Amino acid sequence: MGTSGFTTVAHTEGMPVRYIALCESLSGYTYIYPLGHPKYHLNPVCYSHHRVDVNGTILSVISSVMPCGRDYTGRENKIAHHVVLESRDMVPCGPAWAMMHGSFFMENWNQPPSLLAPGRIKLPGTDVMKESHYAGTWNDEFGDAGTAGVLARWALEQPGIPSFKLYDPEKTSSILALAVESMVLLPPEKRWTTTFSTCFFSKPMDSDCLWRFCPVISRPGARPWHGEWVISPWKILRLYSRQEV
Amino acid sequence: MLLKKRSRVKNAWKLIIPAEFSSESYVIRTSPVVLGCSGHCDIVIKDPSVAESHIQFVLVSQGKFLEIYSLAGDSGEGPRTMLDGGAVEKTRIKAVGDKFFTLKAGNVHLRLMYAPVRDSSSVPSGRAAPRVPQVQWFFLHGGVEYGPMTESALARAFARKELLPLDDVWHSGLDRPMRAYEMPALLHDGSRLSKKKAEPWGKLRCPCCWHNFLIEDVMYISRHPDLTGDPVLGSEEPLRFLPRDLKPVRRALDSRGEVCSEMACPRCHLRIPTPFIDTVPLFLSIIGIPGSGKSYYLASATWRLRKILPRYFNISFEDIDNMTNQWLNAYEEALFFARDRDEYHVIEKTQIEASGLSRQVKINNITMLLPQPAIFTLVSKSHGGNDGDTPMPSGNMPLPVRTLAVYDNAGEHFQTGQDVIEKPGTLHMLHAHGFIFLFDPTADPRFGSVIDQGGRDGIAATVYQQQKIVIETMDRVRKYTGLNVTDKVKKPVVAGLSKFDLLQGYFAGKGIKWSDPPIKWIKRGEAAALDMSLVRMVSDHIREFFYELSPEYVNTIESFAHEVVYLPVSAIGHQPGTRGVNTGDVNPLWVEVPFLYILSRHGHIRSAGQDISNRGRSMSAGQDILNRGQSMSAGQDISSHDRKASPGQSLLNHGEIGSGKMLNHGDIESGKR
Repeated sequence: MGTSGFTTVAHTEGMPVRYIALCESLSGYTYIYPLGHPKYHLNPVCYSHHRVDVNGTILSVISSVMPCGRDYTGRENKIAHHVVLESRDMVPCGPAWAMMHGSFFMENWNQPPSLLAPGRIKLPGTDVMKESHYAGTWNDEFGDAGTAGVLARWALEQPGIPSFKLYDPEKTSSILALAVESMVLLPPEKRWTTTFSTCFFSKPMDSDCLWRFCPVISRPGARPWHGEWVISPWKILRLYSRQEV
Repeated sequence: MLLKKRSRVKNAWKLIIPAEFSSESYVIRTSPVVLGCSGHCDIVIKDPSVAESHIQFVLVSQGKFLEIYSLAGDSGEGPRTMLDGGAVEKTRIKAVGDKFFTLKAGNVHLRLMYAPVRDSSSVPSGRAAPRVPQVQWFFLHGGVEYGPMTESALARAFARKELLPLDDVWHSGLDRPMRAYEMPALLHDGSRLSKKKAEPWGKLRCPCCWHNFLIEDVMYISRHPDLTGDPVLGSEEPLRFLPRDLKPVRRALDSRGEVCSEMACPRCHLRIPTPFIDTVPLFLSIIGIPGSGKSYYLASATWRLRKILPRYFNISFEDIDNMTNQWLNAYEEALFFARDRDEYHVIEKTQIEASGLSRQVKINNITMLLPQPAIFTLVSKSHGGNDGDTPMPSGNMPLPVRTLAVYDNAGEHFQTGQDVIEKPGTLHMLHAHGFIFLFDPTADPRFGSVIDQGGRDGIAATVYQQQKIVIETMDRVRKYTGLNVTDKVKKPVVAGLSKFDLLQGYFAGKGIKWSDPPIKWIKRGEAAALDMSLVRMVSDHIREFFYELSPEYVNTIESFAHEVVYLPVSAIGHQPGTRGVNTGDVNPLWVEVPFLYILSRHGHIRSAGQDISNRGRSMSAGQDILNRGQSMSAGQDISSHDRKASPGQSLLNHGEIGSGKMLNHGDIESGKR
């Protein structure tokens, strides 16, 4: 399913109406750089994994929400693409890996509203997953591969306590890769219970969000972060780029 | 009536506790109630098998259901909370008379039932205001103690809103303070104003979900960090609770003993600013298609009202607090707080799911998005003429303090098919005291020929039949209020011709120049009024213009409301380019006038000139405006300008409407706050 012009433009044939409403509620996007800003292209893609209880069934929703040029009124547009998964769809590699290597998220929609064929998306299975535990992106971006393990440990030891990872979107663009490298360190059965968002501003009502990667910026023309901001007793991890360290 | 109702026998949830722990059963009257072995708990059971905080009870739907939450987790030897033999983490039970539920907390067996109980919370008759002339009363407002005074003086203070419903009042014969709204004498004698125009004291409306509730049902927001996890707002929000013991200055203790002052709606649990609770709100609905400029208009209008209302109408117009209006403040900063004149800013396209403009809540097991309004206080700085004793020129009796709530909806929200229970964000229109419909001329190809040549290039090619928005509004209002199809809304409606800067050339070609807002001094430097005659003339011209190009819009909107005025507005005075709005060129035009008009129709600001509502259907097309305006208010030489005003003349140029009391252009500039 995707949204364009801020309305649902496509969904899988036979998808329950309640799922559509759920996905629409997860489609909000906050532009850090407004349309016309020279750094508009640095607005991060919001990849997320949420778990939602719908009538007793636990669903996983993996999403990408990103800016998408201008809409029909000439203002900023976005495209949100959500994939709703039931337990039988959850491949062992986990949601972050599936999103990074699945290449199934649409980045634009220029067709009339339509129905999508069921079973169109196949998540990458275990066989395509290289079980490398080396956190190269963490090392390259922040100079410390061990930080990937910190997130994994928090998720294992205190799965009910969310953590915030503050990052500068101008210096760090591979947030999903960071999530993948941390998630790989988790046992397979824990990967689909770990929720995250690579551009966190507020928690959805029906789902937790354990790893909250928050873009933080305070430069002229950029929008300040004004999401709900509760620090204690949660964990905060400020991610400095290699140069800053 | 309140006292009578409280003293009767009624059903409630009763928890029967073993005699070794308590000599009497516990009636769950408030919510939440926590059971545990800690002395902080509401129900204390000193048993080693009971956790510090073991079970939480939450009343739902006025007690028709009871939710039971186990706070104790698993002991490792099995569940620590059982209901009717089954383990419980979270469950909801329905009230059924004479049915027992067996509850087990640790090793302690309890019984739960929904049974008749005598309402011990009834206020003893001695607590109500005894009508004894010698009694000297006191009250506490804003941390300041007032008194001693007689009961009639107390009533006068209540009428003047120096004493508010949630303030504590007492006299020496009372063992503890009571709240002002608990004094029937105040309600009956003291609030003449509220009886006339306002909603009755004690009834409040939430600005987020528009639920109507009694003041005694206001919830408080817990402050203790342990008390997180609200059934309506989610696991990370502080718990809301109904206070049992109110402290002075509107404070309540949460179940961990922390003093709480923030209040919340009993239905949606969203925070309600305290001044909103103290005042009678005005709701305004701003409606338009996507891209019609609602957000820009709202930012520009409120910015101007901050200057205009204090300066000309002696009314302060302030944010209700620093938290509520953050999103609107950000809009204003984008347009009016430029570091230099060459900065470009945009106001982001409004999203229904935008995090700053809406909040997700779960009500009745439905996750819904509720809007976050911007709320302003309107306070008459001097009560002169407006303290309830002197009617305004309109004949209304204004209140010295009101709040104004406005909403920024996405245009898509007003479109057909968007009125779903998960997104009730446009239902403010059911409670609106006035409507502002923004008509976007760039979305109607028939207006293409009259739009300035220079402005045509940058316009997005959108086409939308804008009467559909009005029809959808009518549908929603009629559907929810039971309004008959032939009935019309009896509230002021403004049809705003948005982006009017694009049409200035057309009107200039007809000899109509743009000028200052329609405000004139009644007494220079002291009191001004909305020049209703000028508003009327402009409205007639804009209506004529509308009728020529888009007659169906006029017909539709006039079938919706008894009273429609047509006003031109331009939020920024030019069209934004691809980079956004050049903040140095922001020059709003008449953006505040629709607000002023609605405020004047409700009697909160003065108006001068003929009252539009007295003209009936005089705004029909082709009528000769020279024949109107016969009865002007005293002291206003407006008939002279009526004689001058004719099509083709400069109707908007104050200099030609000469009583000599008009504002000069320099009087109202678009500067910083």
